[in-house]
Amino acid sequence: MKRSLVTWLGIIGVTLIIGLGIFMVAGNSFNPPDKYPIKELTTGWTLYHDGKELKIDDPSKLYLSGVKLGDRFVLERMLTGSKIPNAAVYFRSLQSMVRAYVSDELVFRQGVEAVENGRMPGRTICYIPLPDRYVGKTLRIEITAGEPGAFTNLGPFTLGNQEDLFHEFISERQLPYLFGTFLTIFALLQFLLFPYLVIRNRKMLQQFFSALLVLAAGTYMLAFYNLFNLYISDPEMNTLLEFASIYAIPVAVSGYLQFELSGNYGRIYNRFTILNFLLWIVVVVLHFMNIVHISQSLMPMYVLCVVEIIPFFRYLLKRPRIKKEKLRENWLDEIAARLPALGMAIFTSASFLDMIYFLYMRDIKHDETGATIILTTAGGMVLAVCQMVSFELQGISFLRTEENRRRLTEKAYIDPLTGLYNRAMFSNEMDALDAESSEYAYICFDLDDVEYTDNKRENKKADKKVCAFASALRDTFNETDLVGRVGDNEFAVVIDGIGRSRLSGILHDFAEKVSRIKLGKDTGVEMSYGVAYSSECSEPNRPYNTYILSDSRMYEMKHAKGLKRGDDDE
Amino acid sequence: MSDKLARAIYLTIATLATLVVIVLFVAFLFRFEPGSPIITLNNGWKVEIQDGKTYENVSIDDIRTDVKETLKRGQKLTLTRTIPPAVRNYVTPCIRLRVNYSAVDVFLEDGRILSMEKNKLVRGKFIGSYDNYIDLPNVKPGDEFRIEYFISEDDILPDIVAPELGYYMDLQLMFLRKYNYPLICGVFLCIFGLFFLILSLILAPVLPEAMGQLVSSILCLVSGTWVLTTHNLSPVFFHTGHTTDVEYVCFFMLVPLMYLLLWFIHPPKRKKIFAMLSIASTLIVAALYVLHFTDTAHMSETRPVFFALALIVVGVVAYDVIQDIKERRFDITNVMQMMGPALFCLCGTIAMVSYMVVGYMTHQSPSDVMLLFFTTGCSMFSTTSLLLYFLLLSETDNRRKAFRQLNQKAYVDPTTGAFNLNYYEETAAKLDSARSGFAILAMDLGGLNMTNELKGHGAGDRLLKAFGNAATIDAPDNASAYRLGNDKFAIIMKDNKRGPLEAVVQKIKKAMLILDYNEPDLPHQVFFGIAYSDEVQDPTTEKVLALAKTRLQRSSS
Repeated sequence: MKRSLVTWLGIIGVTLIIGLGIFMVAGNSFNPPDKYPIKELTTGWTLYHDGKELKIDDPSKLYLSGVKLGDRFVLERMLTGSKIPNAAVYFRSLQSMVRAYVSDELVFRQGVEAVENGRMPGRTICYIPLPDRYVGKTLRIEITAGEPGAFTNLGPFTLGNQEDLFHEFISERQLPYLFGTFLTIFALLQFLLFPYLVIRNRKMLQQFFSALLVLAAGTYMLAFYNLFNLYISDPEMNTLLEFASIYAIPVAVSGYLQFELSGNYGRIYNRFTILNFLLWIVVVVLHFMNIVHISQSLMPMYVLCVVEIIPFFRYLLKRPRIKKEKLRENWLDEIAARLPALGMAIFTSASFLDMIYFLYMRDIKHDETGATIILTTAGGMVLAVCQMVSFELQGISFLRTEENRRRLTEKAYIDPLTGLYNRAMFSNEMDALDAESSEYAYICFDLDDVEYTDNKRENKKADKKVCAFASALRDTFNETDLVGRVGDNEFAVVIDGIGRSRLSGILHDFAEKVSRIKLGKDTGVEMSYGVAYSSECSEPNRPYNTYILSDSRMYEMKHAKGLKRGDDDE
Repeated sequence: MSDKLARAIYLTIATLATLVVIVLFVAFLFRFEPGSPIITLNNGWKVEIQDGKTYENVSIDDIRTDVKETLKRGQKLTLTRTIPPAVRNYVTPCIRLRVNYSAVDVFLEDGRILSMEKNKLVRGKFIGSYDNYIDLPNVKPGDEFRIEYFISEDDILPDIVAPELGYYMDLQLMFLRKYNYPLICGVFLCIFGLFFLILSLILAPVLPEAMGQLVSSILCLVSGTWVLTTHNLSPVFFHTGHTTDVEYVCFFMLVPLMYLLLWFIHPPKRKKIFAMLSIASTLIVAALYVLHFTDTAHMSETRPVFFALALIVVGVVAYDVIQDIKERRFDITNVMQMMGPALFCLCGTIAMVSYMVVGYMTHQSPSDVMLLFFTTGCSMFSTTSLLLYFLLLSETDNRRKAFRQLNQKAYVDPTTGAFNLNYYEETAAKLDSARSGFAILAMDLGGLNMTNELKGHGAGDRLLKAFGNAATIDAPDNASAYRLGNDKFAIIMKDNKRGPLEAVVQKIKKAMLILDYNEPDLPHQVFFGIAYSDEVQDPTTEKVLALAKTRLQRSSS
C-alpha cells in the first residue's frame, strides 16, 4: 500500500515536471510579448547576379546550384510600411561576405576580412540596423560567396525591432541552447575528473571517448544554431566549431566502441579510431593552412561513417541476449552497463537521419536554411540521459553493495550471540597485530561446563552462560584489546604490550568476576584458561604457535582442576 | 615517497593541468568584442531627491558617498544628464537600464520613452529587479536624458546601476558575456537537477537509496534557478515578470532543502534536535513567504532572518563534518556525499559574511564577486555529485572483488571449507518457500572434543579439515555441505531421489579410513542420518533435519 502510494506520487511528479518542462521550453507562454510587429520580407525584392537582373520576388524560394567562390549577388528592396523604432533586418548568412546599404549609406558589413584574406567565413546571424527614417528608402544587400557551394538560397529576411528579433532568435533555439550548454559543460566536467579515473581504472579510457562524444554533440548543437555567437564575437570560430565537432563524432564513437566491443570487433574499431583521428587532424591542419577549408570535405567523412557503423549494427544483431535470470538478479548493473552503448546507438542513428534530411532539404527541396538538426539534438539528449541513468544506477548499485558489505561484514566477522569478534576476524586481527607488535599476550579461555547438544533447553542454558561470560570479558578488557569467541565454548583475548604481573592481576580479578556470575539456583560459569606470550614462540607462523601454546596451558589448567579427559566431551 | 602521497601529487597536478587546459581553451574561444563601443553613463548626473536636496555632477559609482540621504518607500529620485556626443556613431542607439526595487519613468527631452511597474507601485506590490532596453528615436547629442525612480523599498541607493549606451545587440550580448559564468552554471544546474529529479522520481518507488538523489536534484534545480534569476538572466529565456520573486523563493528554499538532504545522506545522531531545527527553519521560511506574498514584509527586507537561518544550517553541516573527522569516517561514499553540501555551505558563508560586512561598512549592494562565490558553491555541489558517480564507477570493480571475498567469509566456515550456519539458514528459508522436494544427511563428528583435549586444537582442526573436505567434495552436484555447529554437519540435496546421499555416506567413510591410515592419532567416529522431505507431512527443513538427527542418534546408539 505504502509502495503503491509512493509509485503514484512518483508518476504524478514525473508527469508534472515533464509537462512543465515542455510547457516552458516548447510553449510560447513565457516568451516576452513583441513590442512591435515582426514582418517577413518575402516580396518586392530585385536580385542581381554578375550585373544581370534575375526575375525573382522572394529570394528564399530561389535555388542556386553550383555557387562559386566570389559569386556576388545583390538584393534590393524598398523599405515600406509603418516605422518601427530601433529596427533591423534579420537573416542568416552562410559562409559569405555581406555588405548592406540604406540609400547607398553603408550600415552593415560581415565576413569581409575573412573572404579578402582567403579564410573561411562563418555561418552567422546578421542584424542589419535600419536608421530612424528608413521608411521609403532602398535597402541593398550584397552577398558574396566565401566558399564554393557556400549557399543554395538567400534569406529569408525578417524586419522588426531588434529586441523582438533577438527574443525570437532565442525562443526558436531554447531547446538546443539549454541542452547544448548542458552537454558541453557535462563533458568538460568529465574531462576535469578524468585524471582520477585513469589512475583508478585504465578501462576508464572508454569514459574519455564517451565524454568526447557528449562534448561533440553539445558543441555541434550550439554551433549549428549559431548559439556560440552569444559568447563569441567571431562567427568564423562558431563555424569552425560546428565542423570540428562533426569530425569529432566518428572519433568518439569508434573510440568508445573499441573498448565496448570484444574480440575482432574491438580491434576493427581500434583501427577506425586511429583513421578517424588522423582524418580529423589532417582536416584541421589543412583548414588552418587555408588549403582546403573544413566545410569542403564533409562528403568523404559521411561515406566513411556509413562504412564504419556497419560492424557495430552487425554486432548488435549477433550479440547474445541477456539471460532473464541474470537480468533479474543483477538488473541494476546489467542495465547500467548497456545504457551508454544504447545512447550512442540512438545518437548515431539520429545524426544519420539528420544528415539525410539535410541532403534532402538542400538538393531535393532546395531549402538549405530550413534544415534542422532536431533529431541530433534529441539524440544528444538521449545520449546524456543514458549516461546519467547509467551513473545513477551504478551509484545505487554501489551503495547497495556497500550496504550488503556492511551486513556481510557483521556475518563474516561478528559472533551473533555475543557480539564479539568471531574466529575469522580474530585470526585476521591477530595476524595484523603480529606484524606490528613486538610482544603480545594470548589468553585462551574454555568454559568447562558449557556444551551444545541437540537439546534446545540445554542449548539455551549454554547460550546464557556464554553471554554472561562474554559480558564479563567486555567489562574487564579494554576496547583496544582483541576479544573474540573462537569456538562454541572457547574465547580468546589478545593484549598488546602488557607486562606479566599486570596481566596476572587482571586475570585474577576476571576469575573473581566470573566466579560471581549467578544464572540461577547454584548455577555459575566455570572456566579454564591458558596464557602464552608471543616472545615465547618462534616463526614461522608465530600467531598460530602462540595460540597452540596458550591452548595447551589452558588444558593443563583444566586437568589440574581435576577434569578428566572427555568430561566436557559428549 | 609513499604511494598515497605520489598519487595525491599526481592527481593534484593532473587535475590542475586539465583545468588550466580547459580554461585556456575556453578563454581562447570565448573572446568577445562588441561591434561598436559601449559607453557607460556613469558620470555627470544631477540627482534630485523629492522633498530633499539636489546634487550636481554625481557619479553613480559614488552615489552612496556623494548623496548623504536615506531614501524611503514612496519617495521619488530623479537622475538627469545629457546624451553624449558619441551617440552619433550609432545608427540605432539604445540604452540598457537596470532598475532595482523601483518603478521608473524615463524621459528624453521631456518626451516619456519608458514607464515601468507603476501599477505595482500603486497597489503596493513587490517590485523586483528588471532590465530595460530603451530605444532612443531621433536622439541628438546634448539631449536631456532623465530617469525618475519611484522607490518601492527603503534605502535603495546602493542598488542604482549606471545605464549603458550602444547598439541593442551589443548591449544584450555584452550583458550575456559579462554573466557567462553564472549563465552556464545556472543552465547546467537546472538541466542536471531536472534530469536527476525525473530519474529519482522514477527510481524512488523501487530504490529507496534514490531519496538522497531526489533531494539533491531538487537542490540543484533550485540553486540553478536562483543563479539565473539573481543575475537577471532568466528573462532572456523565460519572461515571467516575477523574476525577483522567483529568485527569493529559491534562495530561501535552500535552507529547508539542505536539512532534508542531510537527513537522507547523513542521518543525524541527535534526531530530535535535528528535526526541531529543520521544522523550525522550514516554518520560518514558510512564514517569510506568506509575509512576502501578502505584501506585509517583502523578502528583500527579511533577508537578515534568512541569513541567520542559513548560518545555523551551515553550523549543522560543519558539526557533521567535524564529527566525521573525529570518528574517522573517511569511506568514499560518505566523504563525497558530504563534500557537496560542505563546499556549498563554505562558499555560501563567505558570500553571506562578506555581503553583511561589506554591506554594513560601505553600504554597497552585493557585488558580483559575492554572487560569484555563491554561484561557485552551487556549481561545486553539482560537480561533487558528478564526481561521486565517477568515483563510484571507478571503485565498483574493486568493491565487487572485496564483496566476493567477504561473501566467502560470511558464508563459508574457514576450517572445513563447508558452508556455515548463516548460509544453512538462508538455504533452508529458500527451500521452505520453494516447496520442492529435498533430502538432508545429518552428520556428527564424534571424538572432536577428545582430540582437542588430548592433542590440542591444532589436531582437532586437522580432523575437522579432513572431514569437511570429504563432505564438501563428495556432495552430489545438486547438494552442499554445511557445518551447523562444532562437530555437527549436514548435506542438503535439492531433490529427494534415493541413492545419492547413501553414496555420499560411503565415500565419506572411505575418506575417513584413509585419514585413519595417514593420521592414526586422530580418534574419531562419524554418525550419519538421512531423511527425505516426502517422509514427513508439510515438510520443512527443520522437520526433515530433526528426522535425520533422530536416525543419526539411532544409528549412533
